[in-house]
Amino acid sequence: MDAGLRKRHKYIWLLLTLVLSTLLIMVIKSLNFNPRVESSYASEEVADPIKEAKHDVMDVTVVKTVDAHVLELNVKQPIKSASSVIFTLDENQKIGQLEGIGTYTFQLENEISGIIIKDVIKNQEILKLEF
Amino acid sequence: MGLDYTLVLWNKHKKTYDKIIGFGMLLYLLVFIILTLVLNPETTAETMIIRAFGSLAVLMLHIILIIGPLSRLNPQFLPILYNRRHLGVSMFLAALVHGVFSIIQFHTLGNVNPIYAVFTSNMDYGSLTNFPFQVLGFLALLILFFMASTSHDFFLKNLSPKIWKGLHMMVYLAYALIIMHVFLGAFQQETSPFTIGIMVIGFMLITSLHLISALKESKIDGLKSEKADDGWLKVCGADEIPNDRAKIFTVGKERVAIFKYDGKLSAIHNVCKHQGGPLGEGKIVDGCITCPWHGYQYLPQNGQSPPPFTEKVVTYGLRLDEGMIYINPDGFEEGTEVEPVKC
Repeated sequence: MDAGLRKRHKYIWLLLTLVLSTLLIMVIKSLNFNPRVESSYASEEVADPIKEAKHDVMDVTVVKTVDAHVLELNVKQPIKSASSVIFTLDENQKIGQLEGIGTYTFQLENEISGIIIKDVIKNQEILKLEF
Repeated sequence: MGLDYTLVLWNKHKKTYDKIIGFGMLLYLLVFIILTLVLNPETTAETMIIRAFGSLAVLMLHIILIIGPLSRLNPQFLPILYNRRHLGVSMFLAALVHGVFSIIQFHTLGNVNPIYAVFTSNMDYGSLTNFPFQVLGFLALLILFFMASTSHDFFLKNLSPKIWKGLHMMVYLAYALIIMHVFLGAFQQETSPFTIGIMVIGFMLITSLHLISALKESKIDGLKSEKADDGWLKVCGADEIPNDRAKIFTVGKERVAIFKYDGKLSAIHNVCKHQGGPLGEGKIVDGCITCPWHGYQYLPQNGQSPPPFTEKVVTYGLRLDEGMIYINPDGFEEGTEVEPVKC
């Protein structure tokens, strides 16, 4: 590389580092998924099902534990979508992602009145369940 | 070096390199498919193809981008640089499979042109988390297409090395677009800190290696040689340069390589006319300075490629005084014959 090319490389990477770092921090901050609850709360704490909804594809229950609300989903059939992300019906907040048949549990910040499952790639609603 | 253009100028090293690329790609795809079938058996074949080839292309792009700074930091990595073009074209093919399958799966069932749909199916351009990330991937794929289709010495020669290099430096823009494509797209659905962590580590690795090598080069550029009364620069002792090798010095703003061969010393500009390789890191083979990147050759006494080739580099005057080498900082015209200094 000649002197000009070396200088161009240096400034390009300084710029990329600054711009991409800033953008990545902003994106990671906004990817505010609630963590899936891995432990079995039912065996350790008092858990009362307070809301339920049933569908051919999945059963949904909201359970109240001592210090939190927990959303439990039992997905019974494969969802034919490359992207299945759960949002709250009330405030359209992201809760988490579905990957296939199985049981999922997510901690909730507040009590919710329903969920919407969306394909975020096509920007389409897949399923809406109200309690 | 080749005088006429053939599609691929094969040799034993390139064949070995390409076998490693092909085997590595197949192995990655196989492992990805097996893991997906075990961990997420409901995934459709189309989704699996999109994810496998997309992640493969991202991994290959990371490898391609660290080869350059690694070679500048440690010459032992130069053999990987030798056939980087084939790695780049293979990466484009993986990205193309990802892009074509994504467009077929997400945009061909509507009543608008699929390419038009990539740009218009989600118009939330003002949002960060719901940004139409597919547009970023599409633009990156276009850049990679132009790079892959001009990855040949025919285009290097006819576009001129300066324009060709400028076009191929757009890989950095493609990298930025791909990073944002992944973070704004796949990670909108991806909840695992593990995969996000891998991408962040990859980004930190690439940027830090490029910045470290850039700082190292700046430091070398800043080194000043002692100036004699007549304006010539005192660079080093003749015995400090190994036989058939060179030492590189900064003269003005440029680097100059001083070669020792057959009891003689000659100095030429350090930058190869082919792709800017560091000639001073090469060695004398069959009486010619041989570029460590792609084997382009120059005669040490005049900086000219041996006939029938026509590449020429700047030459410099040298003198030897009490075992110390002095160089005239004003270089001659490219290809000027300079009598070698006996040592």
